[in-house]
Formats: sequence, C-alpha cells, structure tokens
Amino acid sequence: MNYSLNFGIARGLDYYTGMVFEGFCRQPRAENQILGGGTYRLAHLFGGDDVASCGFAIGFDRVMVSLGDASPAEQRYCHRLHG
Amino acid sequence: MTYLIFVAMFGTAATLFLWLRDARIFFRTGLPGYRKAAYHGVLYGALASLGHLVALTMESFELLGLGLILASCICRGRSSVKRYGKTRGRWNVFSEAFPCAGRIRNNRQHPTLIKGISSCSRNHGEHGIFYRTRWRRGVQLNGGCGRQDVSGVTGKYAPRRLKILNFLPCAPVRGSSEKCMSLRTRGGAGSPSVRRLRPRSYGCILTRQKSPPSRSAGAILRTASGMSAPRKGGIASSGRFGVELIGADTAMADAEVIMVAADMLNATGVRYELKVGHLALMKNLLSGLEPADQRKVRAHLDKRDDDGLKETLAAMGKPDSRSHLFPLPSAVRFRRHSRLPGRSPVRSGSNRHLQPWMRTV
Repeated sequence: MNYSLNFGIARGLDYYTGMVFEGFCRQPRAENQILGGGTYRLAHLFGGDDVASCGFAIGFDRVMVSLGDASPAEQRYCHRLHG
Repeated sequence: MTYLIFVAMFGTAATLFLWLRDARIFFRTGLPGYRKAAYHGVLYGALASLGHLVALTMESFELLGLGLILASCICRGRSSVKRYGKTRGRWNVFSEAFPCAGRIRNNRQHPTLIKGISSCSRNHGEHGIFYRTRWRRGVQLNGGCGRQDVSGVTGKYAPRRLKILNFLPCAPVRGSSEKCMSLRTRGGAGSPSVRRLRPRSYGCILTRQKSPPSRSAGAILRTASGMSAPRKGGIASSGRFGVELIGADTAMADAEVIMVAADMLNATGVRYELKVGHLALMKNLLSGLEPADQRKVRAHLDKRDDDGLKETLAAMGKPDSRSHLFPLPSAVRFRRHSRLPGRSPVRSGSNRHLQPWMRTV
C-alpha cells in the first residue's frame, strides 16, 4: 500500500481525535479529495458507550468523475454493497 | 344464487386482503410504492365489494358483478409495486415474513435494528454494531437481515468470518434516502490481525443526498457538466460511502481501516494518493491558542492557505508560530518535527495515543 505521511492534515471537522487520513486523486482539479477519515469518539452521542471509532467515507461522485472514461478494474465491491 | 357467488366471494376477499397487506407494509416500512398500492387498493376494494354486492343481491346481474370483481383483480395485478425482498421468495413477501423493524427489534439475531449501541452491547457482549437512526412514524427503518458474501470487501482481513446483515431499503425522508448495513464477524478464530480487534464489527452506510431543485443557471450548468456543487452557499449533491470500526482503540485497528479504504479505491481503478497523519502534533503545537483560534488555524492548514495563516496568526499576535506550523504538511518524517520548538508529544510522552501509532507506522 502506497501512502505518505502528512502531519498537516487537519480535517474540517472537530471531532477527529487522533489519526487522520485523506485520499486525493491524481488529476489536477479543484476538488480532488475523494477519501477522508480518521479516529473519533462519537458513539456515546448516539446512546452507546464512549468508545473509540475509526472510519472513513469515499466521495462516490468524485471517484466517478476521477475515473472519467476509464473502466474500473473491479466492480464487485460496489455491486455487492448495493445488495 | 349459483356457485358463482362463491367465486365472487373469493375474488372480493383476495382483493381486500391484498389491499390490507399493502397498507400494512406501508405503515411498517414507509415505502412509497406500497403507499401508492394502498391508495389504489381502496378503489379496487370498493369495486370488488360493489361487484360482490351486485352478484349477491341481483341474481340476473350476477355475471356483471363477477365482471366487476374480475376487473378489480386485473387492475390490482397490473399496478406495479416496487417490492423488496425478491430473494426471499414469493411466499415470504406474500405472507409478510420478511424483516422489518417491528419484527426484528427484539430479535438477537438481527442486532442492527436494536436501538442504540448500548442495547447492542448488552445483548451481544463485545460486538458493537454500527447503526443509523432514521425514524419515520416511530419505526426505525434501516437495518435488516440476510447474508451475503462480503469476502470481496474484507476477505483479505477476515476470510469467511464476516456475515452481512443486509439492509432494507429506506423510504425517502425529507429529500434523502439511506441504505444501511452492518458487517459483523461470526466470532471464533480469525486472522491474527482481526483477532486483536475488539469489537469485530464493521458498519457501512450508503448515503445519497438528493439536492433540492434549483433554477439557477449555475446549478443547471454544474449538473449538466457533472461538476460538484460548491461546498458553501451552494447545493450539496454528493454520494458517500463509508466504513467504520467501532470500539477498537488500537493502532492495528486504524491501520486495518486504512487498508480497507485503500483496497476499495484500488478496486475502482482510480489513481490516487493516500496521505496519513495524526492530529496530536498539530493539537500540541496549537495548545496555547483558544479553541476558536485553533479552528481558524486548522482551517488554513487544511487548505494550505499560507497567506490566510499569516493574517490569522498576525491578528492573534503570534506571527512567529507560522514557521512552526506551516512545515507540517511537507514534513514526511517525524524526526523533522522533533526539531521544532515546543514540547514534542512523542518525546515528552504527553500523548499516549500517538506513540503506538508512530511505532506502527
């Protein structure tokens, strides 16, 4: 897995507590961030215990725009997740 | 009165039963297709009842009554209802033996519909389950049951150890629709990396926000060109898909989530660059500022806005802090930050979360 360390990632949301990560498509566009996530503690706000969580979200539209005319190499993920 | 009256009774009963069934499904799920079917069922039920009345009271018009009942049955059959649960069989749909909120809320086998994580924890010990609350008429709509092969998503990390609690389609509520599902390990021995995670639960949520109609020229052009709408002051139109791991406060868990994210992006074929960081360093450097000021500075750093950072720090009376903060995005080795003035979170051990994370990295 290729990644780089960047301690300047601030994330726009205040609830992130520690590790954060972001994914950027390589196309030079204004909105090239397609992935964002990190660790947070939000479970207690929804009635659960105060436990740590780690999650991310992928911008579906931005990924599709980044793909352009290229056909995805593998589509089974999206297919199965849609049920 | 002939034997045809029994045929009329059967046809009327079937029409009324289907109407009540559609209405019941709508009240329990809120699906718009069943709402439409329930409304139409009033008409078809009335037509069938009229036909039954004609066949019962006027013997000479018995065939006319049967014709009315037949017409109501035909119209009822031709009205298309977008049904769900196709994989569960016709009989299950017919008999309503499909999962819905009222049936599953207290069923331990389908914890995704249990309200709140705390109740899930009580029922399932260490297995926390992600959930998404969406209420409509007092019924929690999301969640569901069923198994699917998810080895394509997480098979690398927990081969054949996950079962998916499938989702039910949620009714559009205030311009949005959601589909939720949870992944949960079956327990037992998994791969070593998974075995260390507590709890072994994943949650996925697929959210689609529908943008409200807009007549502005900019919105139309953006829609036509496929560009995203602006974040601020514009119309948000984005589809997001996420995964989260709840309850594991270890660096291994964080690393696994990152690997899942990377694998998902790899599967799409998009060429991307993944950047990983930790907020402890930045928070430590900003610890002397007020929370509101910290948010401003973080916003500038997030946007790589050097000019804005200069102005903000100058307004705060701390222009020298820029030289400490702005190298953060370009510093790819933590040793470079150890030369920064101030109290290093790693050297001083002030942040216990950063140390195992740095060891893992």
